[in-house]
Amino acid sequence: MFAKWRVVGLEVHDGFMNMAIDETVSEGASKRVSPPTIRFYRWKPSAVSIGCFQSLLDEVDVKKCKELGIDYVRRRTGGGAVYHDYNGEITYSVIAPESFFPKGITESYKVICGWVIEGLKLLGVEGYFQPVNDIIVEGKKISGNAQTRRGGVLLQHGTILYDLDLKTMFAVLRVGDEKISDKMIKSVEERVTRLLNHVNVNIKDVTKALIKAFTKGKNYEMKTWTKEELRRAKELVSLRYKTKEWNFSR
Amino acid sequence: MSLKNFFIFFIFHLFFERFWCVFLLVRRGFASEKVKGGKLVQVRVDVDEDVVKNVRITGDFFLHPEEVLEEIEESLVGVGVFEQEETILERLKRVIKEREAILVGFSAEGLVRVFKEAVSSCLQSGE
Repeated sequence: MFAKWRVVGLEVHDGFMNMAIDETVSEGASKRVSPPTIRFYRWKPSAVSIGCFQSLLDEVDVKKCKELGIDYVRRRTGGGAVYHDYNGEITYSVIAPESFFPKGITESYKVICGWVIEGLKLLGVEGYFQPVNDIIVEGKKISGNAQTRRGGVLLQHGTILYDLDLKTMFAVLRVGDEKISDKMIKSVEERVTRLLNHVNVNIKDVTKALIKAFTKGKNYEMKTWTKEELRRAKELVSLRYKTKEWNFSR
Repeated sequence: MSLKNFFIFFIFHLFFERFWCVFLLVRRGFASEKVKGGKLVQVRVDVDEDVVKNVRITGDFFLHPEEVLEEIEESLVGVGVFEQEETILERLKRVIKEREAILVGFSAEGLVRVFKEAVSSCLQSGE
């Protein structure tokens, strides 16, 4: 059993690698070769991730993505489609044995979302958890989260909105038949918020606060991936996350 | 194969791929429901001779373990278009219980409702 959490500070990968690292560490944790891990990352190029039960063609304008150089990838977790803008958000993953968390789905979301809320608090922003999987600030969603459990391991990843590029978001996500209108943009602005609306911070400060909150009371060390983990992640990129079979499976 | 034959084959292939359901008289149905405060569930079905041949369930819900969705889809294949909701629900609940699956953001009852609606939609649309 690993006594210490591993914390991997803010990294930048493409969407395929980001998803492959999550799966690699989940596999590793299940085999007890990877320690419980907390990681923070960004997406370059910007990408759309869709929930594992969503239809890619229903949710994503694939042609537009190609035009704009935006990747698309299916996650292993359920939930909705997310546009991960390189400058617009920070994503985290928590990967650890299920036994570290309450058995109930909502209760375990509440624990990890509590760490996010604590991080927001350190930045002076008051948020609260709204079941199933959202974090709300001043009545608007600032963070979406998704969870899966496999081989005795819990993986939760989620995104914290820092900035919003609504124009690109609407261009790549299919949002019904309506044309992108000012009204629609306004309606999203009424439902979704970003850190920059509440506090003037840079991404570095946000990461610092999140790391502090996520590691509170934990025995941890700042570390990175092993060679074997990186090898396996690259393998999963080509075996799964970059394949049409996976991404267009629904 | 000569080039001409190849092109004929190719065009037929394209046509068939897109319109095969016209040849086989398979009817396609679709329905969706957004649970209030919950998630979106969409169901697509192919119906042939009053029997459901294909089921595709999509949406932004959560289901643990995720693979169970394929088994749920399979459990709905073979359902007759006039089958009662309760009977379908029983089928569904059996799979969920066997696999100790957890549904988040939607319910078995809701799924059956959308499924039935998808099936009815292709009855109404005719051939």
